[in-house]
Amino acid sequence: MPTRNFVHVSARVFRELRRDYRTMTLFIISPALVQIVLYGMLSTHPNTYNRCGLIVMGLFPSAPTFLFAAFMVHRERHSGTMEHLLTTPVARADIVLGYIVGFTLPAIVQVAISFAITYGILGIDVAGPWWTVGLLAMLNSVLGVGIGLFATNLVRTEFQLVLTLPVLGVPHLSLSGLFRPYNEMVGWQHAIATFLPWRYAVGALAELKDHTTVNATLLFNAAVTAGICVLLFTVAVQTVFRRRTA
Amino acid sequence: MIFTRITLAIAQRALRELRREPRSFVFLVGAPALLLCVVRYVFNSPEEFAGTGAMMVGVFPAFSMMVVGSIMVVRERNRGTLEAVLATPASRLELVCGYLAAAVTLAFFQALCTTAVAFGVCDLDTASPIWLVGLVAMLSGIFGMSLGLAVSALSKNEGEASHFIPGAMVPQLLISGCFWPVAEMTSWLRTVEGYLPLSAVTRSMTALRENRFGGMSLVYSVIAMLAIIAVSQVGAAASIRRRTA
Amino acid sequence: MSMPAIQVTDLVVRRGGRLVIDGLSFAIAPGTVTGLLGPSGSGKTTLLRCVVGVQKVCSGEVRVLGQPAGCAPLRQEVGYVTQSPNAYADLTVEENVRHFAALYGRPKQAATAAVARVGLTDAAKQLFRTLSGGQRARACLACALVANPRVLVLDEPTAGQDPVLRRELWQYFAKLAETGVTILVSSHVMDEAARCDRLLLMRDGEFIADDAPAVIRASAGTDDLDEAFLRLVEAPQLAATASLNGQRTPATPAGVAAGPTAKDGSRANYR
Repeated sequence: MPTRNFVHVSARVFRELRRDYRTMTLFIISPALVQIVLYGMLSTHPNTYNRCGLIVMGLFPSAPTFLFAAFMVHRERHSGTMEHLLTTPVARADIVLGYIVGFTLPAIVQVAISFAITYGILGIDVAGPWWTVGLLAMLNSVLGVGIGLFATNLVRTEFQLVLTLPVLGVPHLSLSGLFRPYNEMVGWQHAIATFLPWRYAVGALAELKDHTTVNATLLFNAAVTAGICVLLFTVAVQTVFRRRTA
Repeated sequence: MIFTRITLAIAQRALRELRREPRSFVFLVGAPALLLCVVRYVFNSPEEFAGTGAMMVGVFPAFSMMVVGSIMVVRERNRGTLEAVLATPASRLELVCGYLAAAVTLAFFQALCTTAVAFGVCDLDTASPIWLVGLVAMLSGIFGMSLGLAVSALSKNEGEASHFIPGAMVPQLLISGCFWPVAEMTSWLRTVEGYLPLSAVTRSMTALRENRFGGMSLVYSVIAMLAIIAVSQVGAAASIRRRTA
Repeated sequence: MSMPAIQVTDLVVRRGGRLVIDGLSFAIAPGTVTGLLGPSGSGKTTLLRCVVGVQKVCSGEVRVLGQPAGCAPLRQEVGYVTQSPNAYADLTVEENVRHFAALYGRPKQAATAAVARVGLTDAAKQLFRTLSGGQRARACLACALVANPRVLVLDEPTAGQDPVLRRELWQYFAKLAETGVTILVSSHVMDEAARCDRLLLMRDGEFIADDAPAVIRASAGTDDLDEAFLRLVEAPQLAATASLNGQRTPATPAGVAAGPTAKDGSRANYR
């Protein structure tokens, strides 16, 4: 079980991220920018805007944490610092938790800014409370870390890693329920979507558009998302954070 | 673009490296086609797909090449080979054009694959002949690589370059009308659309879909693409520092 | 001397806010093998990068073959091997050297010859990333040699090589120098220094000695260059503590360069 030591890992990760001013700037302005563009696109169709804006607000934090986790961990695995870390007395649970916290902490800032702009300036109108949307957004940022760690297992070079972004990202997003709700999908789309993490993330968020309180569907979807996170981190402990490698 | 012995040597080297990574090559050539299929089935019918689909035939190659281009220079710099190459008679512009020359080959195969899948599997239908669509798709791929190289020259590492995707690519995808018709967007957004690099790609593909041989709209967009390629190349070369601290 | 191959005047370099080189001046004659020795952090790599023209310089001048370091025509004449061997991981040794041959405008045969000269003909078709550290260093050396340069700048080229190979490489450097090539090599392996025509001992961005190896050994009073280096480093420190204690200062070894001076390296026959 994780102990207080994870704080040291998080602090180091956070410090590394913080030094990269350009990435941090991009990271902070990109969701706000996307929200503004969405507003401009869909202002004549408020219903669609409310739905899309809500889902993007909640789902977007998943993307940058994916990038952080995938690239930083990939670099560490291939430069030897990961191996070095694994020879120290720090427990693996602490390492994983340290990375999670280190990557999702900046996400809080990003979510706060995008919320401020979307709720405050753009005036999105959704039934559910903002703090629920916020919690789901943070859950999705943790999910992003999990998917990022998983992605480092699929590729050998950074070249391939960067290619996985469109190849994994576009189908994932297309079948997630953002464009067409899961319930309206048929056949093989429906079948594939059942296994996609974002389908559950979107499912949970979509409920908040019309419902003012947390309902069973939302809880179910959120629980599955959380379960997928746990699964991904367990796999990560066995693969990314394996002490003995060939 | 300058074609010197050095540019060709660098292009040859980049392609040879890629040949040693067959997975990457297949990914790169096949990714737009794959993505096109995925998007096709989000729509219920070929007619609904036609507008977005036509744009995607240009956008997906540009997008994937941009993603690749955005790490090329960074990779060289971090491996140390950039410094070694800069100590040779190769100029920075030749280096950047070498990559673009390699992209021409890749873009050719990519466009071949993408248009074959678009017209064969995804039931896309355009007013223009397929070979013209393929040609513009190929140009879009080269265009994407050029933009990527410009981003790469500015980035310190691959992780930083990758953040340009949600930061700069996604807003462009949205504004240029891939998911929602430009005509229905607010006026300020429509103005912005006119100035985005990606719009050159989307407008040319839409022109191909609507008119036989594209008409003047295609001509303007192609000229815009070529101009942007030239500017990106020069910008990328200029931002590579020969002397570092 | 006739026009020096490398001329450095009042060089000042700052890296990361730290003053790495402070007002260094020296000249290197053509057709010599000069060793740049010193601990890591002394500024060796920075100095070499200045000569090649990839280092940002605060002030001062570096001229190679009469032209400003790093200018376009010079890049055809100067070969450079970096400290950590870097080449294209997914290409074979042969492909890497041929690529650099193409960049320098040299034919393929030059590449094959360069690979043979560094003793990698057997491994020529092996991927760079599968090579050992020593083999990688040699492959990168071949990439620089294929240029047929007039000035060769090498940053620790023999690190991690076995002694037989090191001796062969140094014999090759001597032969190259006889044909007029100027070689500037950095190392922290002191016994290799014996094979140079002239040694520049560097510490904290300054030269603490600049002479032929035999002269340095004699003036430090020992045959072991490691020991000589230590004595040269400690002599001023000993003098300082002695004067603080009010004692007579021990005689400082003669031949220690008092501040940076340009000296012509003598070709002592010690080999």
